[in-house]
Amino acid sequence: MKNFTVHHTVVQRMRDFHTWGGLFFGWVLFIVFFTGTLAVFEPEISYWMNPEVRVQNVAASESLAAAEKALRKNAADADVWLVILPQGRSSMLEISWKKNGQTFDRYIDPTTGDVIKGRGTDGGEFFSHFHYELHHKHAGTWLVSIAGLVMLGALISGIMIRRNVIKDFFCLRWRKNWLSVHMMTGILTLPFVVLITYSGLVMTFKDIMPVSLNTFYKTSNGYWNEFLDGVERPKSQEKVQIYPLTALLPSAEKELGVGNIGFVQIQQPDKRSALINFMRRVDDRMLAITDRASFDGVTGEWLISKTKWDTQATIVRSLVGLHIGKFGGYPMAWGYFILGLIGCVMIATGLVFFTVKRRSKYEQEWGNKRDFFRAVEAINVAVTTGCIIASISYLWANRLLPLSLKERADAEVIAFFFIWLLMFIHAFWRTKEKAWVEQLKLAAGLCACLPLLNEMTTSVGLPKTLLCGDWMTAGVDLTSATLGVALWAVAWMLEKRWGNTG
Amino acid sequence: MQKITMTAEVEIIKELFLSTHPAMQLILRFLAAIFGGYGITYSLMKAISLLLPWQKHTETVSFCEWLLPLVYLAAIVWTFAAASAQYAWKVLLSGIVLVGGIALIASCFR
Repeated sequence: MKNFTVHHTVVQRMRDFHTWGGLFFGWVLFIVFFTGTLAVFEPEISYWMNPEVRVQNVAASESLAAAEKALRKNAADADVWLVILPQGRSSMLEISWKKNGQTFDRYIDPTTGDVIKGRGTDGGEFFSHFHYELHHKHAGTWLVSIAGLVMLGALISGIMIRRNVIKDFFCLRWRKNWLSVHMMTGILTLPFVVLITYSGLVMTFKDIMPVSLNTFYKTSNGYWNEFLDGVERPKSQEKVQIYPLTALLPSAEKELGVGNIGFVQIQQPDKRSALINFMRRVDDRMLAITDRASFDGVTGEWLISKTKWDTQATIVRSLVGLHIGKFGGYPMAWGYFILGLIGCVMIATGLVFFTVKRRSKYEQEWGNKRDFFRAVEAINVAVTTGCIIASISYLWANRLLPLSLKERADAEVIAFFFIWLLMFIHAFWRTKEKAWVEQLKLAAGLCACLPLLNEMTTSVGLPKTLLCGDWMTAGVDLTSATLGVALWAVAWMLEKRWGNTG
Repeated sequence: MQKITMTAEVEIIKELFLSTHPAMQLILRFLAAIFGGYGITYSLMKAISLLLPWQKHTETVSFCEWLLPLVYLAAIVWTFAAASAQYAWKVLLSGIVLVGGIALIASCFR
């Protein structure tokens, strides 16, 4: 009984927090980190997943004319139209419209204005949404936000319980064991993880704690309208064709800069009360908020421009810009991708270390305790390698599901979750060593064979994309293959290590 | 009969909340960190929103957006540094009452 009332010091309590908070929220955090890392290359993954959409670059005015034509043809009675012009890394022309609260989107050919008959898919957007919503909208955001707080707390407590960790890191005392890999990758990615977790937390904080917003505004729409200096107009039912968008483009470019128009939003299109908002692209600067110029939809008269932002708004939106990391181009994207993967390794090795540290103890135990640790080992496998396998299966499903399938985009997502479920069953069914090695090898195989599958099922295989310099597509294939090799190396190393010890 | 079981249940709950068992301490600390931390951040956000004299309300909202996550984090870390889970709960709850009271008074004068 004496053990139960032992006086805990601060360090010991921090260790408890790090151990148990790290375990339960580590599962969430690994998923968030891994899918978030993939979301860095969202435009590339979307491009890879839409092999039918290969558009040539045309002038913005031509794209705009094509988009207007397509929107009038496909969404004449919509409430809002949105044109997403080709910009930066994404060269596709996309139209989107809202009708009765539902959103639709299509890729269109900028030369003809025809909708491209592609495959139904959510593309890389699935990863960037799953990354903070976990497919559960508000509940997911809650869980991810709390996990983010625990992450920052775990960094603080982690340094507190191993005070030598920073010294060890800089003295290059790097060992080949789970704990050392966990600590060294932790210090290596410390600034990045602090930045990305804090900025992510700032992004979701208004959702989990809308107190300040509710003090001043009835709805979040009211807040955004004031924040963006939006123009609100009474709705009219009278049908009038809107002022041609291409004719407005020069005056919009005068307000926002030539070649900077990224989005055009038309509220109440083809009505007397129509409003046209030209919005600046956000992928070339840290401040992730769209400058906008608003025009009367019918007369084409300039109404208002919003290009200056207040101090606090600049702080928050710059943090958002740092989180999405679009402004640094490919060097920054690769930096985020690699640091994100190392962050995943940090979380995964931490999860493994939890079981390694306690294995000798619980293997001699029976009953609930033993079952609990067994379950932890299985969940560790299913969460880490299972998440990787599910993500790569999502790309496989994109190539393997029949093109004529109804609700095809949903079917891909179902494939993602179904494969993940299978991985959970597999992890609980096999012994720990076998589950790790088999799932790692499966993940490695799926990643390494992705270029092969792409070559067999589409016309944008690796040889062709390399020859014509289509690095967006080739990059996904090559990165996947490289990850496959790396995963195989990990599987091989584990097999060798466990093979020796029996 | 009914009364006796009721008091027994109350006793069990009381025992759980006052428990010094390490596992119970840990659970109580996690609850204090997440819910107590949320409460103190919530009331502080409300008080700041009501008391900041800034003309533009969007600026107040943005200010709260980047500052209050740090308060929440500090509350969580402090909860685990506190001497006991019961003490952490006590301080957090009195903090919520105090800051919440300030917010309440501020909302009357607004």
